[in-house]
Amino acid sequence: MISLSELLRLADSALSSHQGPQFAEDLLRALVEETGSRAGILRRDGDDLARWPPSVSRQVEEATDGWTAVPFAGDISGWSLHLLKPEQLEELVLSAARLGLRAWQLREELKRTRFDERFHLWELEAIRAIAGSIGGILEPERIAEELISHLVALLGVRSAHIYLGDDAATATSVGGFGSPAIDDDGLTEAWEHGVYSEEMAAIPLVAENGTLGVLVAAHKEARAGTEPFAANDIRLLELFAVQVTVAMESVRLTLESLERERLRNEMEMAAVIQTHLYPQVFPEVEGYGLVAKATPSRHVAGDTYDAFKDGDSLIATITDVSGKGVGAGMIASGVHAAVRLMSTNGAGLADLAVRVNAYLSGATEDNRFATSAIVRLESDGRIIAVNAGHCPILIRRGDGTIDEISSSGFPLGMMPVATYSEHEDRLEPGDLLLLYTDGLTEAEDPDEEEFGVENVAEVVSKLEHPSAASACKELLGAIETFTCGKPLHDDATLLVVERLAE
Amino acid sequence: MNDEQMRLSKNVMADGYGLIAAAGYINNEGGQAIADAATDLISNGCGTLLIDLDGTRIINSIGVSILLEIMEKLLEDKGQLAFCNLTPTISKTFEIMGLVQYATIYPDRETAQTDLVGDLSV
Repeated sequence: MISLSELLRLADSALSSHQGPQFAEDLLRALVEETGSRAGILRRDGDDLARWPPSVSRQVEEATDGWTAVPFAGDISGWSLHLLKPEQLEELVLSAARLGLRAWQLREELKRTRFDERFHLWELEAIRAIAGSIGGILEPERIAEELISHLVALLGVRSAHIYLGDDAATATSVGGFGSPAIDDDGLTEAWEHGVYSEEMAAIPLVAENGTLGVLVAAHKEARAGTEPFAANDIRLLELFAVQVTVAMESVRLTLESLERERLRNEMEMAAVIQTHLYPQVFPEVEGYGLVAKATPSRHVAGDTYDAFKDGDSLIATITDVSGKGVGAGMIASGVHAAVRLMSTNGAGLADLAVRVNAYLSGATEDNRFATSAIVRLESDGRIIAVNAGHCPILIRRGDGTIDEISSSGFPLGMMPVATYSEHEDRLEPGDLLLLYTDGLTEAEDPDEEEFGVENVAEVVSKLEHPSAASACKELLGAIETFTCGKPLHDDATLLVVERLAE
Repeated sequence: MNDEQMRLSKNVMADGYGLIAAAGYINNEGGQAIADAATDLISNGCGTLLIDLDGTRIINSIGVSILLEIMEKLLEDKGQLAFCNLTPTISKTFEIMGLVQYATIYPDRETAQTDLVGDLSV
């Protein structure tokens, strides 16, 4: 009866709190004593939980006759009790034992359930922590390390790696834990549709624009050794794969955005630099007035103009480089500098054009060229002009008639060797000289008809109060009306020189 | 990240107080190494164990379950378990998995030793 009391006490203790492995041995010992058995063995699902006395080994068990198996049913049907030569097997004693085992089992299940619940919370916390920690990181390697440390902890794997690249052939590991578990062929297969085996799962990281890489995890640990991946493990891995994909996509888009911003800033800076190359104030040359207007179609223009003094004369020039954007702008700046530096001490304009042509033809690899009009204006009204493949230079006479100075040679830089002729003329007081680029003449109306040189000439010809300022204003106004306010396709530059009345 | 091999040492620091320093991946192997060290210290009369995890960055679910078993065993024997030098991630994991309910967490070894057994350097 003492042992029966002990059985009931054990059952009560199992009901009230979790009992460790010692519980099975204590319960078996009480059973052996209460039933008058020589020895006892308690098993669950074929595994020994306790032997009493402990000296009863499996060899002793197999060599001994007289074992009585006591079956259990219901929720403890996996349990079995084996008693050696029991003197009595009272139902009351067995009921007390069943009660204790049920309580112990329930406690075990409760413990497992709590562990599982907490593990799910751990999963959620890991996902939250990953989202929080990788938010501001722009290095894929650091993101990979953060993700992999959480993945290894939660999934209990011995190997985890993240591969990124443009395709499977170029993909490389950006972070990992343990020895890599996949070879090149496996990576190629995983890139296409994933690889799933008991030992390894390799999941493609699929973004909107295609596959970014592969997440590989292998060798999931069990209490002893490893075990196959379960469905929940794959679910968790896929969740991590989504996290990796989102994080890496975010990095890519952010870096692209930063690069765009950097380029935009550089373009703006280049435009500012180019603007400073234009004359900030026109030189004062007796008898002449100048007005200019430049409208780049992009931040940096392929057009440039200049006006500067060379002794007593005035040099006015306008240049249009083929193409648009930064490349054209850089060449335009080069021509701008070359013309200014070479046209000194009364240098001949034809010779100047030859030298600039030679410089430019060897300076560009992509067959770019520049059309240019260069005019030297003397204080007495004489002018010398060179037109290198540029739009006709227009001279509006006082009576409204228009004279043209057409091109007299190839555009600068188009041919390695070129010659140019000089055109001599005169500007009388009240005459206007117009230098402009094809951004004006090629301005289109809604029907895609070009404004043309003829309209430029006509607008200037009909000026009521001819002056450099009015020519500039009326011409740009007419183009605005012609295009119905539509932005110009090309850079547009206009430089007007007026011979002032004496 | 590949160098996560468990490096472990154990010492009886004072009567009834044992220290385990474990650095590396606490998985089934690393966890079992800690459990073996704990069993050894407990059998040598250490009712209070401090586990210093300086150098440990990752613990998996099996490692956590092994630490829970060490804690249960100590509690059965009316003992005490403590940890120190936890990374924020491991600290959060211990909180979620219920280890901090019955184990004490210290920021570093010195603070733990002072609290558990007094200043050992005196």
